[in-house]
Amino acid sequence: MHSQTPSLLQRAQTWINSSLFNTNRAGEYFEYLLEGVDPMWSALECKARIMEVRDETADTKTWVLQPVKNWGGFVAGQHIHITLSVNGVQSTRTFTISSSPYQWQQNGTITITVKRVPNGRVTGWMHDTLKTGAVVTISQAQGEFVLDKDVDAPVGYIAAGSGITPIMSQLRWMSANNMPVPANLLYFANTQKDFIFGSEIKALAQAARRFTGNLIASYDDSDSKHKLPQSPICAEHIQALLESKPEQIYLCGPHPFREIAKQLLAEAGYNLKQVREEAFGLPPIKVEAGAPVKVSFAASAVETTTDQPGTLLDMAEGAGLTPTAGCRMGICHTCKCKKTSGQVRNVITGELSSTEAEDIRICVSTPVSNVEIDI
Amino acid sequence: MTTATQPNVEQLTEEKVQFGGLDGRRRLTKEQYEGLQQEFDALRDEIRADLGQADVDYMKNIIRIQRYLEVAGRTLIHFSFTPVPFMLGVAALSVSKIMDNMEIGHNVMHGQFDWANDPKMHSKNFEWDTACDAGSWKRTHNFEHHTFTNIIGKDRDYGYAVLRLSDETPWTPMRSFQTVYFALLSIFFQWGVALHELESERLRDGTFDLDEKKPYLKGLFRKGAKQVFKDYIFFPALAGPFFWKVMLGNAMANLGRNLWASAIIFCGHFTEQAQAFTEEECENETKGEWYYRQLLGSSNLSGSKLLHVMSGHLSYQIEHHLFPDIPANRYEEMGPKVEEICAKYGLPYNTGPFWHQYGTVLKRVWKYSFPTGGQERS
Ligand code: FES
Repeated sequence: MHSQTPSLLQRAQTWINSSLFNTNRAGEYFEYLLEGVDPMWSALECKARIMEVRDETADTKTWVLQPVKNWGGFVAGQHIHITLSVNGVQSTRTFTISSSPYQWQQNGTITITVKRVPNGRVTGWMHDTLKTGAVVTISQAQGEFVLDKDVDAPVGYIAAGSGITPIMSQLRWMSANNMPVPANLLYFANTQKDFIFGSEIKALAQAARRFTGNLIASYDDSDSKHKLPQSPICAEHIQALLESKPEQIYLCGPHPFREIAKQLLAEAGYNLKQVREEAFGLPPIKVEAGAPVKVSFAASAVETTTDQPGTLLDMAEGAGLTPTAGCRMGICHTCKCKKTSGQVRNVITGELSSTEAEDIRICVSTPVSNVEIDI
Repeated sequence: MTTATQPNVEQLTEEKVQFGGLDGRRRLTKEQYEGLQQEFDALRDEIRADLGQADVDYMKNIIRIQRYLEVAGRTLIHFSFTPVPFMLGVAALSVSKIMDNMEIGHNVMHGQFDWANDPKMHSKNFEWDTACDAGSWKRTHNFEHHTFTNIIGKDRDYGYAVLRLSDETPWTPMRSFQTVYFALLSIFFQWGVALHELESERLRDGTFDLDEKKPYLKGLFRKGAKQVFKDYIFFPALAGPFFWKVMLGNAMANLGRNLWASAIIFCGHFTEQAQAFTEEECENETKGEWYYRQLLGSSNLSGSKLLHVMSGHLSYQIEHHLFPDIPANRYEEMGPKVEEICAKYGLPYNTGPFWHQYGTVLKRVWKYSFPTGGQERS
């Protein structure tokens, strides 16, 4: 992190920038100017242009993005933050790259595959409005959900719904690489029609001897109420997967699904240390029984009291305030605000803050006592 | 929910209201205040729900134009060797400073674009090209002035603690020269605004001592030094042998901005018809009464689109005071609706062309430099 004290030179530079441009980063002064000349230009960020939009399933689409030349590339399984302007509101969301790194090397494009979240403000807008030619801002790729370079033992994959996207990137990469290691996939979805990349996975399973793909639907296609006998994930599935003796298991899907899968793996005697998870969004916040807490947003003179506190960001927005936020998952630090009193819990790590005044990220903080925040 | 009924009052005539004073002001009934609140709240909600990409694009565009003008202005001042391009450069730089202060800074710092979640146009981060630092301005203007608008003794924008503008403020012999103070305040307006939070008048009468003002003073020197460095050291020094020319150009651009900004701001609350209030009458004020005070204490300027943009839409001072955090580019469409509501309640909607309104400001400053002030209707 950048917590070392800045050198004298850096401080002088910041001072001069703020004198001349009224902002600590000179680039910020020119940002809208550059954007006005060419939306792909930026002094501060990486831009990407939408080259194509494809339908995958009824509620899932793939966007082909061409990032600017100096974007740093990625490893199969990593994700990016995308910032877009949704009806004027700048919104950041995290998506896995679903394409293979080969594609990026060959023609400089990557893809993201996104399911429409019911009532989702951003995914809904993307599905309806984000068309070919539009320009979005992207972060560098990040994430640990990647293949280890020096391991040549079999790998196992467990995915549900749109959790297939980082795995697809890996499978595509491995298939282009002649399947360097044996791979087994368990992929769960509601109906046959909901398997994203379903036909590609089937084709790959036929073509590549070292790859086995199981597509397991919970419901019959014709009647979404008719539950199929083999659904959803259960001990037999896990057993079958473990027979291939995977060195590493990659698990991606909704939080409750991952919890069940991990429990089954543990029961089957698999070492959970060998499981790698990809999790987006925050885990559900555990509500602690007790007295209601009072949150005061001091700068706006707004106060709320609740015995079911969510994140402070949600609470502030619920109270009609508009603090700046980006990723909403504790990564980008856009939402940092000064807490002047009280104690909060980090909903990701469970860590408790001090009771002193300090900067906190309100998107991942939930109050455990009465708190006062400078918003 | 009761919708407001048409108030049954005789039409106000100019004579019936002693403008600028506290008597004869038409007050509304409790129900009417409630009706007024509902109508204004509804108007605000309607516009707020409609905010979107177009508003953000508008502001980005304005910022872009401001940047182009600043770059062009500084370049022209630098490389001009005859008066015409030099003056063009001064004009461009001055206009860029006006846009930065009025249409961009003032509005962004009111939080009008906070909903857009763009850190570059968020009130939390924005800093502007003037001596007053953003934090101080948000305290004195956003909080003090917008909460206590025109309450004498609480709204320190009312007369800026140097001007007597109503009979509520006692006359002293020093007030005889207030036209001179007024001129000085206009010329050095950016420094006047920066010094506002010092509350020198309260310092003098011993309400508090200088120690309490330490954090503010730090901010003042920090920001003031940056402004001086930019306009009077850095850019002149870049020009080497033409140091004095660039310095003069920058000073002229600042002067232009100061005169314009002060004129616009004085027109907002000090016109002849804008009313003042006492602390007592504003005690336990309801939201409806707050709207009423904002309405009666403010005055608009009628004019072209250019006037609206260059004044940061403070030509819609009334709308701005009723809805300070609605993006200013929406005031134009709200104006007729506000005027309609005013008419319904028999309330004045104070507006007029710039020169007329500014004339009444000058008249008022002059009039109250005499002990008789408002009593003597000229
Ligand atoms: S919004 Fe990114 S850290 Fe909170």
